[in-house]
Amino acid sequence: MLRGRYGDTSGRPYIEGRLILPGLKISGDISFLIDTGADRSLLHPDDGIRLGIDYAKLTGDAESVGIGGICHYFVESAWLVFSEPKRFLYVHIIDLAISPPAPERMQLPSLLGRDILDRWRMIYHPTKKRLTFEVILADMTIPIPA
Amino acid sequence: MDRNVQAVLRQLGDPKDVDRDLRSFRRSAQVLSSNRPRLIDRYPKQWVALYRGRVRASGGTFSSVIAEVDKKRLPREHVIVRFIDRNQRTMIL
Repeated sequence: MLRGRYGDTSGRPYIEGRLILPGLKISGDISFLIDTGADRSLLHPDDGIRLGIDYAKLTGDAESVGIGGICHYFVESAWLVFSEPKRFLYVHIIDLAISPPAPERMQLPSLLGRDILDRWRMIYHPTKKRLTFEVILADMTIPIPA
Repeated sequence: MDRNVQAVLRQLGDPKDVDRDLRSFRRSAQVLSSNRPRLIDRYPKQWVALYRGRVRASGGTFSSVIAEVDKKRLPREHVIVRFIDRNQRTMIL
């Protein structure tokens, strides 16, 4: 079982995971906002810049519509890894949307969308401060040696 | 072993290290949350970088904090960077 957390002041639901972009040879840890309204997971610029993404090297293009209107994103093959401490690593292989840097997109957390959440069962119980996930389907499940 | 599996394992590294790093990162995230009222008092409207549960850099801009993280040779990939806003904005994505 995976455990998430709630932001104490915002109450927003988060989970931490490892992002690997094999094509760019980049990896790093991300605190994802759980977003069942997002069709696809998305890396926002705060995290992308921190991880040292060279945006000039990104090529994939996708269009999305949201509260802010129509936006263009890069798309990159990615592995998202979540750990069930001392038991398993769950690897998900997805096409990750990557937001180009823009002032209005700073301070936004990266999103974990339904491309991942549809493979999990979630218990979302903020009043009990409970946020857990059972992984129903992963591309790879790696045991963590004792 | 499937070539994709081998590729993932090679780039992932030792699963024990990944698990340990993620637990440490999660602890930093939780500390950020639980210390948030104190951080609001100490770092209002500032960017902060946390590593291993401690604030290691702060500044008025995202780029200044990243520069400080680099100057201190902290591993960016395991650092959490957040803006501490006194007025929580409503977020509708």
